[in-house]
Amino acid sequence: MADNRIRVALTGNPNVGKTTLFNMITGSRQHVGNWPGVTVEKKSGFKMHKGYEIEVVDLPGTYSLTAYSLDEVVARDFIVDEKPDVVVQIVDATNIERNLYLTTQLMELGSKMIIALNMYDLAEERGDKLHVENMEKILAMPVVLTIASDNVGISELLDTVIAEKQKENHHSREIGYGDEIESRIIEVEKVLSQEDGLASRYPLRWLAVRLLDGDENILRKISGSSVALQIKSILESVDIEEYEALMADKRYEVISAMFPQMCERCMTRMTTSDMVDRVMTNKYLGIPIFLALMWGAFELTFSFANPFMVIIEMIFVWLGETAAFYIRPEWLASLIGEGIIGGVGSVFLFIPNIFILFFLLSMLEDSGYLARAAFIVDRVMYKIGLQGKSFIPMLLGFGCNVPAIMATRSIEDRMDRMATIMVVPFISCGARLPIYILFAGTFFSKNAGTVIFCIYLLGILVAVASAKLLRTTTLKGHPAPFILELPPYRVPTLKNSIRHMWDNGSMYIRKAGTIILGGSVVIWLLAALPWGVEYGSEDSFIGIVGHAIQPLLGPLGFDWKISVSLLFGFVAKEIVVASLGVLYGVGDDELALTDSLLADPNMYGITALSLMVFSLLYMPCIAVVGIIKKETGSWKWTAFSVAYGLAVAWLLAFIVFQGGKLLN
Amino acid sequence: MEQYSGRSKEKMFFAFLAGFLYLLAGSIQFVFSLSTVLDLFPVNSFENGLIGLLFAPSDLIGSLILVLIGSIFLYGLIELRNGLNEGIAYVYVGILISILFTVVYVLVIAGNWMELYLLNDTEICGWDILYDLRPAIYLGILPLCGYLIWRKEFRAMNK
Amino acid sequence: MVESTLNDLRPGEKARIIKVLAKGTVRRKLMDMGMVPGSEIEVVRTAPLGDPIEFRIKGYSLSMRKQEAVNVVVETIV
Ligand SMILES: Nc1nc2c(ncn2[C@@H]2O[C@H](COP(=O)(O)OP(=O)(O)OP(=O)(O)O)[C@@H](O)[C@H]2O)c(=O)[nH]1
Ligand SMILES: [Mg+2]
Repeated sequence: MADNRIRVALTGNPNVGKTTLFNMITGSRQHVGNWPGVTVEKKSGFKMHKGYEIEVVDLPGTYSLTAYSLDEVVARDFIVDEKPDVVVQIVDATNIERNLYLTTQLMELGSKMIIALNMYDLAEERGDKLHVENMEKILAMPVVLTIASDNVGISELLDTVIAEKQKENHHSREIGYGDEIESRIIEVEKVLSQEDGLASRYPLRWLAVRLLDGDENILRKISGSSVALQIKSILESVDIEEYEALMADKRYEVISAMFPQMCERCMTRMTTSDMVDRVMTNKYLGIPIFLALMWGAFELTFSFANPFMVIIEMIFVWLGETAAFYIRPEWLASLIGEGIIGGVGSVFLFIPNIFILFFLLSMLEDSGYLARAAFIVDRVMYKIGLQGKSFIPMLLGFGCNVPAIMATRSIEDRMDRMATIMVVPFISCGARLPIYILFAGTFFSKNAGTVIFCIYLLGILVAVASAKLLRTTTLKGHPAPFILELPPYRVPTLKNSIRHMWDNGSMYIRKAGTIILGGSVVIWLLAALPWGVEYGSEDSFIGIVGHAIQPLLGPLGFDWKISVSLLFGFVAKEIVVASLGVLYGVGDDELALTDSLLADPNMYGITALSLMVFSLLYMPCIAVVGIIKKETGSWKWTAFSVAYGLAVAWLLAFIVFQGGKLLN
Repeated sequence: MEQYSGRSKEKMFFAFLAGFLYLLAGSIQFVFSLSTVLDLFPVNSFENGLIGLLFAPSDLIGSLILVLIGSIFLYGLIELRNGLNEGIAYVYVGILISILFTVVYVLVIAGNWMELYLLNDTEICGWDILYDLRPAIYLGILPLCGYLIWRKEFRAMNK
Repeated sequence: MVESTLNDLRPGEKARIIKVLAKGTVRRKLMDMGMVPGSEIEVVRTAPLGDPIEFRIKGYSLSMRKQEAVNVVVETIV
């Protein structure tokens, strides 16, 4: 590696501002939120600073070098195995004591280390007095004050990184664990030194400490070596649980001995956050408040978007008319008018809703309420066989299922995690919203809001019932313990929320400009070919495909046009609306899609309802299938998820349609 | 905590007033919404009567939210009366939540107004701002005043 | 000084941890999060539905269920 390249790892406890710092340094826009477990993958970025090319790696948060969940494994493996040149531990200045626990473990690893004392704005606001020089002296490593969210201290931090890299060698600081354990450490170290390969990769003392600390991962690492048996017999002769406790104890003892010199008046006191929490988690008011907030968000997503939708609709109708009027030859006008403008336009229509939805979700994430929601509903989740932590991915799923499924990585228990992954697709994501707005708005104009609310509710109910079903059959077992840090409340900043809204919203737009555009063109082609056939008629290719699958969906009340749209909806749910837009020829005349639908003699309120239920429940999109495969690592589970979703969707839509017909 | 006790009389009065008003408006709206939903009375007689006066169109969930906000304030009042300073938290959070919902309804009005303006629709010309005016909006003035008065204390809590 | 387990404490009560009886990963996790003998811990509140419980330890908020709290032996501080 060239001399002017430095690889830096950002590590630390969850929710201390690692990603915020990473974004500031590298100019990236990785996801930030005020709850533990936002980042679940390692991400790297580059920064040129004073002639050095610095590679910065953002890691998931971890409380210690013992990893319990998948995201923690990623963090630990990177620090332990990849040997970054400099390790920067981000420490939450308002919570130094617990943060230093990880420091004591990292110190032993012997890498070059820097502490970024982040959020010191909050510490100062609280009235804490931080003694940085003392801290540097005691810990024997540089300490830099930072406010990641305000870009304070970043360049000092980078300077320090360079200075640290240039230092010749580095002595790892050791913690004395007391005579008994120390003698064991020496014993283990001696055995380990017989194997040449190990000493070159890890500090032996560190290995010995980790082994005596009961770290199974390290045990696995050395299991192939020649000394594995000897080590095993030493470990069997001691009470590992006892040692574990003693060592943790010793570390905290060391910390509490040095802590008072680092920070004065750093004690707990009643803060605004506690005050707010008192009300939000009140015995009687907590749950009603939670429901009220959800309802408010829902109301806003649908009501406030209307005028913007009207504008967009007017633009696209005008574009369609213009295209039909000016463009020749006629087939090109049809491709552009009906295919592209009709398809993409009907998806673009819902951009306002999507933006508002993401804005509100981002407020939810930044406020710190998300972790509280998990705390409040844990009892209910426990009853259905999940745990409070499963609730976080479910709430995130209202935006998009893909990141929601990734967020399950911070759930430690495999069974809990699998069950959560299986039920997240039932949570109605933003891409399904256009379907509801279109159909509920068209067929239930007065009660559209209530209908859509019920659809969302149905998604949650199916998710809950499925979780219960899974946990009593294939994924049998008790939910794992729920041990979660509750972050302090913070006022969400407008800047952050708008940025988050834009990042996610623009993804929707990009999708409309790529996948949906492509899909619309394909559907138009299928509707216009074979050559000479009447556009979108039953003799076109799409008519043939539609008729082929229609018998399957007929019992749900769907004609061939809807059937074929649902088929294409596998690619992305927005395509359902887009292809209806193409098939009903929005661009062609002044009629908007809603009017064309109303004019269709095959469409009734009950069909619309059945369609919404089906769209809610069947496989969200290709991307979700992909992420389920990736996260479960199993084709079997992926296939199960798709098949189960289809079965449930078919069954419930059948009940809705046939039941509705009976009642009429 | 001592610094607050001097002011807690004001806050108790505030909590009482806000709690009472929200609860009252919420209950009235709830009863009428329920009766409209269940079709107990001919709709028109109410639309022109009391509901029209209170600007409380039938909105079941909306009315429950008013009741909830009222309860938060009254809960705070009870705690303050029992000498628990933490009751202030309920007053603060009540203020925040009621302002939140005021904003929600104001945005809904703004949305409807813009839509009307854009469409220039003759059909819904009958719409005027009173149609969308909800109790949450005009009642929101009270917590807004509360917020403006005690804004500094919100921040001071951290010290 | 009375010895009891964490789940017995009422909101507002403070205690000092004596022993963590949990086994395996739960035990390690609790220790990593600061639940070591000698630490001071305060019960902040229980969730609206009665479980889990929110604690304050080492200056931050930690929540866990009663069934885990049973395994932490404490002595109450007055
Ligand atoms: N006031 C203040 N807030 C900060 C600062 N740094 C980060 N935050 C906020 O702290 C929260 C957590 O930030 P993240 O960057 O997501 O934390 P993280 O360490 O990456 O968290 P995980 O990925 O969950 O481990 C966000 O709400 C940030 O806006 C800071 O210096 N001052
Ligand atoms: Mg992060």
